[in-house]
Amino acid sequence: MTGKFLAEFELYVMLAVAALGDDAYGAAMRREIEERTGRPVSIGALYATLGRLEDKGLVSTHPAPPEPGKRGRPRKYCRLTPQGEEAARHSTEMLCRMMEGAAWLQTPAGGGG
Amino acid sequence: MSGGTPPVAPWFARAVLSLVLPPEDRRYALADLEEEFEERVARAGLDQARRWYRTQAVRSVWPAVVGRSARALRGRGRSWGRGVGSGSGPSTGGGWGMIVQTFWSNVAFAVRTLAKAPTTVVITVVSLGMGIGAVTTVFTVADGLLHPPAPGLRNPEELVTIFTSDEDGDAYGTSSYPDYESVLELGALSDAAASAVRLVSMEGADGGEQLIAEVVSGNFFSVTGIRPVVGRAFTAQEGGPGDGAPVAVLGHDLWEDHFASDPGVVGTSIRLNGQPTTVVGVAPEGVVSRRVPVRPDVWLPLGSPADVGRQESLDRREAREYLILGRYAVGAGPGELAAQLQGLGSRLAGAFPDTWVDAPGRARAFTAVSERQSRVNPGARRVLGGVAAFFFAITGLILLIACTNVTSLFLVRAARRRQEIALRLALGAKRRQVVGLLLTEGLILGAPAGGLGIAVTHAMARAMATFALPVNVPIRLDFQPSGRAYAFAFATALVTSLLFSLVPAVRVSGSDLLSGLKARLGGLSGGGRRFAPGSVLVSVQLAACLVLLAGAGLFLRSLQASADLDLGVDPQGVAIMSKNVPDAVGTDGMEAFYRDLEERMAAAAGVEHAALSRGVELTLLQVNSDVSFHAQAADPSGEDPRGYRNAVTPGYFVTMGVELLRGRGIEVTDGAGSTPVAVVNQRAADLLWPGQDPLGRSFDVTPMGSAGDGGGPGTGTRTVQVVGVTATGRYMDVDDPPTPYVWTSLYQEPSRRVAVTLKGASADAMVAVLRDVVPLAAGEVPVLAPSTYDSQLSFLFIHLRLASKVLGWGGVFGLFLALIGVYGLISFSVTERTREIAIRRAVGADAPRVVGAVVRRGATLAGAGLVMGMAVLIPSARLLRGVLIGVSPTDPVALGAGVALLLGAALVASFLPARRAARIDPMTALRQE
Repeated sequence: MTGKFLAEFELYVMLAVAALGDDAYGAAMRREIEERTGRPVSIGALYATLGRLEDKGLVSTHPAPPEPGKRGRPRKYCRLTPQGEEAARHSTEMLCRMMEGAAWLQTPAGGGG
Repeated sequence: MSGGTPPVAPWFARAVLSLVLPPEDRRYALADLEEEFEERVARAGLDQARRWYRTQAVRSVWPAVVGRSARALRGRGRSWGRGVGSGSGPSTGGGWGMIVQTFWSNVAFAVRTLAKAPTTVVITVVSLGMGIGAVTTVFTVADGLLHPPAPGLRNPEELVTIFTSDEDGDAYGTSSYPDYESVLELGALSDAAASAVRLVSMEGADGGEQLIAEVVSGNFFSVTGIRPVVGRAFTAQEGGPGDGAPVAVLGHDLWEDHFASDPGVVGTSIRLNGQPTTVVGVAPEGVVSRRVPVRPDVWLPLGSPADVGRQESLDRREAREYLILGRYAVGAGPGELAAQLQGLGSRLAGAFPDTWVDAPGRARAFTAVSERQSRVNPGARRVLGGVAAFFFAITGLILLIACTNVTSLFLVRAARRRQEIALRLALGAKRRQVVGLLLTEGLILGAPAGGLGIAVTHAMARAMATFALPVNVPIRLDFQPSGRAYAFAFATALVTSLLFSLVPAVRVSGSDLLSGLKARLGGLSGGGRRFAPGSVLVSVQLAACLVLLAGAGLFLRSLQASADLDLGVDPQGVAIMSKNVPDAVGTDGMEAFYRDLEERMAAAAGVEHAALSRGVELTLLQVNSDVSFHAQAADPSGEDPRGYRNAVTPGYFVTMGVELLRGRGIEVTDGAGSTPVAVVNQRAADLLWPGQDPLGRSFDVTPMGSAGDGGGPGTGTRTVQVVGVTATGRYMDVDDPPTPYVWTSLYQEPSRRVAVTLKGASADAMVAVLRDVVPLAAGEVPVLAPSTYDSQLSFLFIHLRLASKVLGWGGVFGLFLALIGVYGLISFSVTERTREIAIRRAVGADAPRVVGAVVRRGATLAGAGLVMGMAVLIPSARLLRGVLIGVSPTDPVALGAGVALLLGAALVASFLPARRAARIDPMTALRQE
């Protein structure tokens, strides 16, 4: 019982960071989570969670200045720290273990990611 | 894909986000939202995107605030240990942290305190919320009317509206098409567009529908920069005199409602006014016409076949129907344009001395007004501003009453908490802290009150959207509270809640310790004076109520007086409707068409009289054409003898009950081939031939239809012979001065747009006859559907009805609140003075005397309120002089009724606590103390 457990939304955020790779910044992550889960995500909640994950040392952030040009915008890119990767792996592993035996999982519906 | 100026996110939502987001994330989060916002604008339209942005803001508040406070606590805990790592971190020193912490602990304490007093909370939130809702509703409507959005404009600062002064000399009138063509040649403008608003009917599967069309020059979209969201705009060649193309750009609302937002609508054909018209594009959402503050359903190029009967007006310099919107040439500015317009104006006045003068004979002039200042006609703006001020005054009074009630409530609460507060001060709390605590309570109540106010505003806006206009015109009174309205509501909530909590807070925290701690013993000495602010507040409330109630009384009396007004017509049993003569009937065939329709109507069961006319006096169908008697009047130097006119068939006078004093009316023999005749009213006869017999005399009338209601072929000035004289009635409005009026024969002056009038035993039966007998062309929608004349006349008094209703309900609501105020204050003073009353009773005062003393207190309050109220009411009622009909602004009945109602109610409200005072048993009371 040494691993840390993550709250559901924290895990979503970390998985989104992992999935987006070098392109993980606010708007992209918000959209990613909203599209995949179908659950509305507010920008306030996203940044609050990122702040918490950063304080826990699971995510590191890298502000990027606006690109030159009229429509350039400042972005804050995120990456999982080694501890973050470890925590995400741990959480998903536990989740998988717990899923075994759940009746509705015997016949997986569709091929959703 | 969105071109032009970038769409703007709702600023209030953005401001809220800036406030709640942590400073280190703020710019990134806002940039993220902006990115998605722009994508959404391109994908789903501005409205949808703005809604999404607002939802984002609302949903972000809670997590951001919680996350931020949690992080602040974590950050501070760490920073004490090893300092702050990053410079832009949240900790900016202990000061801010302390303030935040104090604030949150104040909030926590205030919530706990308030939870123990649910009644206070409910009364405060409900009364303030209703008051704020009333004021915000007025704000929303006024804001929507005075500052309509103008989406899609390219470089709007380069746009300028050009007005021609109108008949009365008002600077902000519309211009004629030939004048527009002259303006186009000015060097200070790179281009200019002309536009006018019309009603057109669209044929559908289930009959027709009335639409609002904006008829525009072909370059309208390129001048404004408005880009269609689907399809294309008009080309410069498509709009112009003679050869307007049969094309249309749909309004966004119409596209959504009728075409299910289908982009495939481009290229399809619709029938407008019976003319096949090809849809070429769809305008962006929310475009409002500058001519009339409505969202057009469809745009048509000038000279379009669907703009039936208007082509010839494009050649007439006196047909002033068009609004000119210009764009400055590069380097040109207002000064240059004004100089060029002045030059052009005097050239035109020299070249066209007949049409470039107004009624009093002054030369007309152009005026240029910037785009922002001319979204609503600057002349109409003044009127709207006055009306808005009136409603602000009423709702402001309601809010004031609500606010004073809450202040009294908080004064009482504060007084009850004197001991607690004295104890806090004694234990070393600073006065500032105590005031802060009490203010926090107020703010906590202000927030839900503001929220309730917004909810009330939304409900009122919905209710207004369903308000039906008296005509078949698809105007939507659709006022959605904007970001500004939200800001207004919360600013009002903030100010009012600070007001009601500040007075008690300062008062109570200022009292010295001893008197606070001894408060219980003080009953005998300071009782009377201590709550002086409470008495003042209640008197102010009563004064405000008096203003509302007496105001309602004035309007009710005025409504009563209006029923007895002699309008010169008899609406008994009369029904009216509007009708267009089908295009298949040529100008020559109109007389036969009229006669045939009259015969058919007269043959219908129950019809006593039937007539056709160009317009109907005192309704929305009244003819706007005026007659200038200036040159012809016996005394041309006298007052401006401007008159109005109508053209009618023989049955008109008897149908409408217009009294003929001399001679005859229009008769069946007054056809196209006979001598042109006219019936004038007594006022016209007096002006033209004072003291002489008007019968048989001739005078000149100008053709009808120049004022923009179309139809009649204008054929220059005609000489008509007077055959009859009627009594002078009211024609344009109920409070008109005696106005000269002329009726000519409709047969001799045919019009494509006519009114149909019937008289019978019952007006409702006549409405049914109109529905059955009058044939409508495919897709034709009458501007005025069959209705009783009475119902149309009642719209003349709609402002009186509306004002008396608003004032009346405001007064009742205010009175209710004020009574709570009176009751609360007297009741509280009775409780506070229990000991004093008990002693008085013990030394021999009997019950009636005690009751009298208490009720006298209430009467004093009411008296002070009445004096204050009268002091405000009498001068402000004078402002209503122009609005009230047949009633003096200081009408004793209305004022007396207001005073009596208020006094009676105040006495009842103070009698209840007085009875309780009389029942005080001296022995029990003194023992308890």
